[in-house]
Amino acid sequence: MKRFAFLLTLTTLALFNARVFAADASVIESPKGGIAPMITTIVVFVIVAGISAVSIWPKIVGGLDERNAKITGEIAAAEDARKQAKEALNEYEKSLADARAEAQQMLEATKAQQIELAAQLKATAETELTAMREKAKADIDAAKKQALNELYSESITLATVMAGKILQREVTAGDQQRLMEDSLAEMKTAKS
Amino acid sequence: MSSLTLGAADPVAHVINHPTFVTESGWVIWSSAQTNLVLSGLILLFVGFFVAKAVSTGDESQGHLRWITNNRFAHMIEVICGYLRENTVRPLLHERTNKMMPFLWTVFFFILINNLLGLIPLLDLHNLLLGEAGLGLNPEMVAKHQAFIGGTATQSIYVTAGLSMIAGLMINYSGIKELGIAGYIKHLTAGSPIFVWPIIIPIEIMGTFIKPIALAIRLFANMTAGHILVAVQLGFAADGFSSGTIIGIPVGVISGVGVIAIYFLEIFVAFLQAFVFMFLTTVFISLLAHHGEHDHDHAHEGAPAHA
Repeated sequence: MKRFAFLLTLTTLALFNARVFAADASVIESPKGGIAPMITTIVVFVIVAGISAVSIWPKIVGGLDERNAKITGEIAAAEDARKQAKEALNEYEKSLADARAEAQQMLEATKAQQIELAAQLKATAETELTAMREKAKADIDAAKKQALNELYSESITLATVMAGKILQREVTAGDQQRLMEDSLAEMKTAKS
Repeated sequence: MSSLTLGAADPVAHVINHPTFVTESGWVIWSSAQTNLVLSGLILLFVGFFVAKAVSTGDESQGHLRWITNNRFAHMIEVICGYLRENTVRPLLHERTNKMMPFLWTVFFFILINNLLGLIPLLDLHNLLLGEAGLGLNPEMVAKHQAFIGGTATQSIYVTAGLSMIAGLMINYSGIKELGIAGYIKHLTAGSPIFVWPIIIPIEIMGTFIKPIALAIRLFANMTAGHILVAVQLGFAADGFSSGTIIGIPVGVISGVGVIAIYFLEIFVAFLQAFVFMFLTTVFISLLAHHGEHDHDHAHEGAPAHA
């Protein structure tokens, strides 16, 4: 492809090149034609450089630098915020872990307390129950004893009255006392 | 029709500078290149003010939007400015960057606008308006190859010489400011032993002038060569099509396609040469510094290949 292009260029140059080489002399301009453009170049450049150095480049530099500072500042702030957020997250996670551990500890302590309390309550209840049972038993026995005494007393009184009627004489208090004591002794003997 | 590039008898005639006012003794007072220079200066200032307004931080009432450049063109210029400052100049000039940037940006954009103006067929439009082939407003002027505007200012060695003089002055002024008079003179020895000074000092003094001359010739040669190539290719295309021969048509087609490709290349070259001129000026400024004294030879070796 390169060879083809080279041959084509050579062919076209061979056909049309006469005027190209003939024009070489006119490429070089004379000093009479060049001094004015040279001076104009310097003057225009100096004026443009002067104006732009005062009114254009400082604004562009300012804009670029301010934006750079803004972006750099924002990135630094974002970096700080990210760092702070990470620290806060770590702190939060640590607090959470501590709280979980504490809660677990509390739960376990509470469970232990609960078990202990339940045991205490159970023991107290059993003690109270036993005491109540004993008291009830005693009360029942006392009541029973009293009832029996009353019953015997009534029975004896009734029997005394009946015996007086049968004997046609008055049963004295001494008789009644003796009768009652005998009856009670018999009852105890019979009971035993 | 010979006043137009396509019909020109001499393709170079449409590339070189055209006088506008000439004295009787043959001194050119004003030429098309000078109009181009003034026009490019005005464009730079006009565009510069527009871009500066768009890039600078806006009013607080705009909120966060005040930091944003809303115009695409201004954004493009801003990107170029940022690239030149941070990626091209700062690695070479370091703390001197901010002081030198206004000059270097002006060099880049002034040359760029002149190079791009040269790609607009202003001379052909001028000749269409004034010449017999067009409106015929001033056919005599066109016949004398005179013009108010057109061509490429930066293809004139005198224009590039003017730019190089400014660059040369700035290079040496910056060097003297950085090194001091004694340091600047000492720099001419390139840190060599005293018995080599008779050779080194004249070479360094010549180098002081050769550097700007090289800048001038490089820009002039690149712009001239590219534009002559475009003009010649257009001539091929016109002659090929008008020849009426069998070989003429393909020559015309190939040349026509080729000229479009070369035109794109020329747009690239316009940017490249503006960049090269600015970049080499920066390199030459950076060489005249304290750190450059010790590594003088290495610094020359490290300089990019001259385009």
